Amino acid sequence: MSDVDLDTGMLEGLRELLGEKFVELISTFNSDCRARLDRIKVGLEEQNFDVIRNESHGVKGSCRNMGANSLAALAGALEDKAVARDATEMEQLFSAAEQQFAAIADKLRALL
Amino acid sequence: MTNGSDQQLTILLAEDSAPDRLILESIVVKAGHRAIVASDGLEAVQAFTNQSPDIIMLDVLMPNMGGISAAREIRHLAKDEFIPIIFLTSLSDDESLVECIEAGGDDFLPKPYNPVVLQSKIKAFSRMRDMHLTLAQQKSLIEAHNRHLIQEQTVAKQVYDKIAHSGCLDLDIINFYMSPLAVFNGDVLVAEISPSGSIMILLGDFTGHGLPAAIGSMPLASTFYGMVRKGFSMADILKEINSKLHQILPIGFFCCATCIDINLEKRRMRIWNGGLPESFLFRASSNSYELLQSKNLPLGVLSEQNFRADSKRVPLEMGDRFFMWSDGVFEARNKTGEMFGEERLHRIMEGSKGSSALFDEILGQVHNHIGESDKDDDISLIEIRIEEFPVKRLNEEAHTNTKGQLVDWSMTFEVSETSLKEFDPLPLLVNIISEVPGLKDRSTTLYTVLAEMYANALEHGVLGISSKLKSTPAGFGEFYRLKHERIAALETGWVRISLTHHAEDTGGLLNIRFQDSGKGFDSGRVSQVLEGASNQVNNDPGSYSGRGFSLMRSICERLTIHPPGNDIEVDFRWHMDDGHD
Repeated sequence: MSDVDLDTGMLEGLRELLGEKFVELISTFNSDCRARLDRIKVGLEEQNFDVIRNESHGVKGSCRNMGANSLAALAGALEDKAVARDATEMEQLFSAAEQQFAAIADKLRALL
Repeated sequence: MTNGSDQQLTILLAEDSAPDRLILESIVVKAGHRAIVASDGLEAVQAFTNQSPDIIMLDVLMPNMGGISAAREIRHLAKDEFIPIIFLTSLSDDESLVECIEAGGDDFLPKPYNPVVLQSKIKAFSRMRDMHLTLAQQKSLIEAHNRHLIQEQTVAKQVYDKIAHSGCLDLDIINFYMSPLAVFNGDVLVAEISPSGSIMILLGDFTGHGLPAAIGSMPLASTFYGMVRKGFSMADILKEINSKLHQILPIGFFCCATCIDINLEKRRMRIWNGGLPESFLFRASSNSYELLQSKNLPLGVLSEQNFRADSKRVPLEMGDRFFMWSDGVFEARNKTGEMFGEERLHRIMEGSKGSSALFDEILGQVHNHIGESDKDDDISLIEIRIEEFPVKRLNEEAHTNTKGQLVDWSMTFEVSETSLKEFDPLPLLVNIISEVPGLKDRSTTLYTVLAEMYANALEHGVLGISSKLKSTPAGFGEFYRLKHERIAALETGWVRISLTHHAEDTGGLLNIRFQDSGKGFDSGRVSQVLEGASNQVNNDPGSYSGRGFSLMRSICERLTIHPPGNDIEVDFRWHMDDGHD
């Protein structure tokens, strides 16, 4: 498993910005990302590149905002492949993303 | 609010990712603004319509309707109003960015969102929106001003047309062209018939353009018409217009003008020119032009004391044609800026000498030269044909026959020695008589009667000069020499004029009585005066001129000479249905 890159400085900034809504942000991020990854999984099964592209684009944006840079990079790679309609190694990228997400979700919950 | 004095803005945020939306909303609210959130393009368009945000931020990829379609829709709905649209994107390829701008986006904001950058962008776009609003307000203000200006010019034009077109420009012998908005180019053309039957025409060209140029034409036209109708001479009218314009126009503003007084009956014209191009008089007998130019300064330049109204007298013959124009004709430019020029005009004048189509040819060629493109045409051109033409006052039909306007009245007016030297009472008298509607239309005839009676009372009565002198050409000279000499030396003397008017059922009776301080002559010898005036040269300095006497008897119903002959009375009866003069 690759290292988890989570920008804790950025997360501290967000905690300051959102105040008591920081809790809501974490849970919203976790559930939003979970839902998107589930939709990507279905997209992979159905070879639906549009769904894969849109959902991985969404994961990439949210992760960048949360400082989850390694997951953002994986989602970005998935997006690029979907745009190029290139199915090779998509499954591997997706598995890595799932792993990263699980680790990040744990770390984020630990911040609360 | 944490951003101090900055105004609170309403910002529409359209973003489909819930955590991103939460962060964005927090940044915007923390900066002191109000956030409206939407999770796709459809919601964004809806929110735009309902809540009119000041700034819009759109994610590019959203379900239902993406940011690019939403931007297009919003731009369409906003019409001319400028609402900044910032695209929120983690797209990185150039093509997508170009598409965002094409759709109406103004800027991008990449993820991750940076609160400082985002707040600065809000500030910058808020400032831009303010500038646009100011610009739009100023634009509509300018448009309103422009509408106002056009409206004012329309009103001014109507007022001016009322004044300027009450004259006799529609006489058959006058051909004229003025561009529709010529008054705002400073050109003015007025024409009226005087009580003595002269046609007076003034063509003026004020310096400058627009309202400053137009404004002087109002007093000019009203002075001109008022004075011509009352029988003032061209010199008096020019003097009055000059001093009026001198008084009211600022330095550097004046009116170049040509004024003519054409008397078809006497076959002569008088012309005064100040600053306009020379006029052309086509001579039918010699098939050539006579150029009429004088070197006066334009109207309004000199003070009353320095102004010279001396005009040139030009004899006319039937078949002659008179042409005048303002320099707008020479200065008419074509698309490339080339002027029509004086030479070209003179060539046409020479080429179509004596042709009845000359006027139209000049106009046609000038308009050809200008072409379709130029609306700024500034042409004033007048032709007067000298031919047998019964000059009548034009507003005959306009007089009202209602009895309520006829008045019984009388007045006595005495002119004493100092006034006799300088003052011409005839315009004043004609003016008073013209207050009776029925007499206004006969003012030419009455002017003749009054002029004759006044001349007799002054020359033969007060000054005691014999009318016999006028019977020889040499005597004429002597007569005028004596008149000047005696007027200058006059110490006492007066002429008393009494007018009495009685309304009658179908008209009225005007009694005119002239008394003077002269010695008179034996009224018993009146018939002798008529029959053999030449016998009385030496011993009867106050005798009546035979010619004047018979003229008056032909016009008036009754003529009475009270002894000793310095008291003459005539009755002038008029009927509503008889022909006027």
